Amino acid sequence: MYETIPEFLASVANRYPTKYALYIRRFLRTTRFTYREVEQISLKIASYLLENGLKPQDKVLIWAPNMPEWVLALFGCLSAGIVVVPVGLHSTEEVVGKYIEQTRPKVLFLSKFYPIDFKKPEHKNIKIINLEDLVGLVENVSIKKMPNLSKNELGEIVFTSGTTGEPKGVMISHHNILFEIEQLLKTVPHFKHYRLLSVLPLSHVMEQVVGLMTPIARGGTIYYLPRINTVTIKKALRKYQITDLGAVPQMLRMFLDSIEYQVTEQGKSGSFNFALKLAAVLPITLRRQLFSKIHEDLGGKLYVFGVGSAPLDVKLAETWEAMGIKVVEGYGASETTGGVTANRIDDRIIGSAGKKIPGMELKLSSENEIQVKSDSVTRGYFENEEKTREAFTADGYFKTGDVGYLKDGYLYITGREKFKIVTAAGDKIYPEDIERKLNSHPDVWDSCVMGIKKDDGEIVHAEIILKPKAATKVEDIVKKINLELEPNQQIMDFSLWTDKDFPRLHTLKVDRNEVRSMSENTSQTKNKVTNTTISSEDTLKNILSKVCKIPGSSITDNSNLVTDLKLDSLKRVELVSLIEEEMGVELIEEDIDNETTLKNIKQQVSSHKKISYPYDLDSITKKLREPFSSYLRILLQDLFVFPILRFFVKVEVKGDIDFSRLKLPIILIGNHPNPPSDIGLLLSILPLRIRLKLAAPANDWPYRTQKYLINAILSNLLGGTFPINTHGKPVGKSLDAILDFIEDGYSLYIMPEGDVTPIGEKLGPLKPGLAQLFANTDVQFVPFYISGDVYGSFYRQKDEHHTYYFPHGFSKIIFTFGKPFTLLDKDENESMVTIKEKILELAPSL
Amino acid sequence: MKVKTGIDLVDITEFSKSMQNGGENFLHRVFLPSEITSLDPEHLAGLFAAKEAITKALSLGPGKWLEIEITHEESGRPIAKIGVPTKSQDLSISHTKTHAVAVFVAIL
Repeated sequence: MYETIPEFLASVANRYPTKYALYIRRFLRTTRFTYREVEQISLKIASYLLENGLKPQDKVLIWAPNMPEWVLALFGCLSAGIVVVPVGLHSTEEVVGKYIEQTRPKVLFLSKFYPIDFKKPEHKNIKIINLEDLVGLVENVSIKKMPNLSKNELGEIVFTSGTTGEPKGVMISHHNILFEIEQLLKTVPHFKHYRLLSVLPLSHVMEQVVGLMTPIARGGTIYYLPRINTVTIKKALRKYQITDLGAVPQMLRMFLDSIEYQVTEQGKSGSFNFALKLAAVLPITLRRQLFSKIHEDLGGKLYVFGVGSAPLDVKLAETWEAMGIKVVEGYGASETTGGVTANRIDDRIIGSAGKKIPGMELKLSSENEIQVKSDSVTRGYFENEEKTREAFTADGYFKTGDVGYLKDGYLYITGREKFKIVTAAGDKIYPEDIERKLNSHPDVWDSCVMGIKKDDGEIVHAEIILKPKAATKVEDIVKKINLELEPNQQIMDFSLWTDKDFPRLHTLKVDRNEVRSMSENTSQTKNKVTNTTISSEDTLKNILSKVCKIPGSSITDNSNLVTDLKLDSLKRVELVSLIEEEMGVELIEEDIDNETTLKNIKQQVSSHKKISYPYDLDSITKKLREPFSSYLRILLQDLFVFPILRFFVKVEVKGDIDFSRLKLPIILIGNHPNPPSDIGLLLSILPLRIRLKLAAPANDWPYRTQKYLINAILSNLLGGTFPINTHGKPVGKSLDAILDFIEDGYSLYIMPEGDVTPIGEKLGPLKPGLAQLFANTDVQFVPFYISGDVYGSFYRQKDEHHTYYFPHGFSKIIFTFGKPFTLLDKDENESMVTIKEKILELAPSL
Repeated sequence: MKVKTGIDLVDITEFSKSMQNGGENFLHRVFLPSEITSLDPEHLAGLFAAKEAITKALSLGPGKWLEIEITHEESGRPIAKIGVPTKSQDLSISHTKTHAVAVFVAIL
């Protein structure tokens, strides 16, 4: 077993040096790191920090969303013996201020997209490093000798509390983490390909251990997202063919809601419910077939949800299992450095938190409190001996504060001790028990139960969030659930929570204290419900709430976006961008003015058709990648296209280019005088090794206008092209597709003019999108120029439309290839200039 | 002869968050590919302020971002290319750590 994290990192780097460990695509730029790169950059970061005055056991804060650079900063610090204090992204400055006062960090790692302007002057003195700039910052740093670290070296201080009381910093050593990883690996089977999407915050130690280090130990690839919502998660599941997703129960519920909504819209609720019942008797492979459309929507490779952090509704888990995705629930805490118990993929009981992980000693106190002893358990709270003493029993077991029971070795969580409600009769009630019942109601999205003082004890109060289009009134829900509860569990008081969600801690657990505080401050009278039929336009309200930073409960149909919600020009763009992403509707900013209310926006959204592209780009590019498609294309090229073209056109190749030695992928880039014959002849020069994995973006005009569609189809079939919008606003999807092909090892041929080269000109104006994608990257371009009697054999197209045409003579065309080049160290403007120059260098004088 | 002026001040923190939340859709609604020479929020906040200042000066109305192109002379001085003809125009952009500001003046 490894003693320290750097040792672990070195080992995985040796085992999987060229495999990609971390990946993110941000604003059409891919950032990814191999295992070797992760190790080397981490050491450079460590060296940089040590060179700049930090010493082992100095503290740094990381306060940023998930991204590869977060991980690099973590490993860099751990390599140098520097202690990391991870902070939840949505923590307030007040809370972070407390962390800073306790830990006195020397450096603060932030994201440049979440900059902070500290109010307290003493906080302003802390050095800030933007994570997105970190790799560039340490690029030229020489790796120093690292300090000797012991296995019990303090690695992290993870805070567990919110604004109330003094936060407690859980001390996590290198050994705690490595021991936990080693035990978890005993419960995780070996898969050939591990592709994990990390959406839970890295500030949570569970995600670090389960969602980062354990997959890394198995050579997996971890994908991060710059924005996390159901739309971006689903896209990523499909794009990256994700096999595992660590989630909180809320996410499973959101996905299921989305499926149920679509099913209802299509009028297929009956067959869907029947299929769920039928699935119960089918093996998993058949279940996945039965729900194949759902799996396709989720990428087709998702087999497991790993769930923790909050109680998981049994019905919710059973529904996913019925659809063919295994739901593996576990239990743990920051103080235990992650999991204490876990269901195994092939040994799980829904509703339980699984069996204890190897290396854990587990017992229940006389009051059924779960207590743990293990090498993964913290040695205590940072600079807080009193809390540390209180947290452990005399015989060294950590007191989790959670209550449960064991049955046949499986742990069942009952609730959290500190949240329990004590009635006037002395009965102890755990809110989680009641929440489980409430959440099992089909119209309840989530609930939060708490005790409110009455007489000499407390009574049960429930805050309830209804699903959109909930058919049942909240009072009727409460009546129904009360029939299922014990007499002492009766919900005596309730309110409808009109925001989309409860406030949450950085661990994504409901912030019960905040819910209580908000509940007590609300002007709503308890039991009085303002509106039970929450509109399905909740998404729109939630987007507005997010953009304008105003609680959803304060937004009504008559709220004026400008005067009431303070929507300015910046927020207007953000609003329409989010509506486009999350609702698939493209609004025009001009339609949002000083008079626009929420009601107007709702009308605009419902009257606009969803954005529907004239073609399914995902489907076209997917088919292009199929081996059969490639072989068919090459067969048709070699048997028909090339012989016909070459019969009429003699081709001369100039330039010092050896295609057999070129490292692939490449981007062939040149002029476009006479499509499609010029392309056909270009392809006829290329060797098979390039043609086997070759694609090209082509003007999507035929698809958009539905004219000359046959040209587009033939171009796709014979040339491997896919549509791209070359006019007006660039379409991110097409640019994304270009990047995807390159990352998948496909070479491309691109005509950067986006159109036919004007007659009489050497080269027309270039479309700038290419530079945006490849500026400052090491992708290899191979320039070419087509000259000679380019119109001698085939008609030049007479206007902007493609037409069929037949050969009318014999001719000779010259292809001049230039030396390969990259756009490394060039920005977008310089890239455009370079591309143009490299092509024109090859053009003969006119 | 009419003199038209526009000014805009952008909080870089707020801009960063909007950019992050809005993602590629946001980026492509506001900026032309030639303007995205850097994804640095400070840089883009300055361009946003410039476009907003121009919009105000020329009363272009909302959503006309892509009808304005901000380029730079070799000296770094910003230039605005707009569909509206002007007799003369000038643009200036400045930054602090927390804000970007732009002023646009045109003679019509």
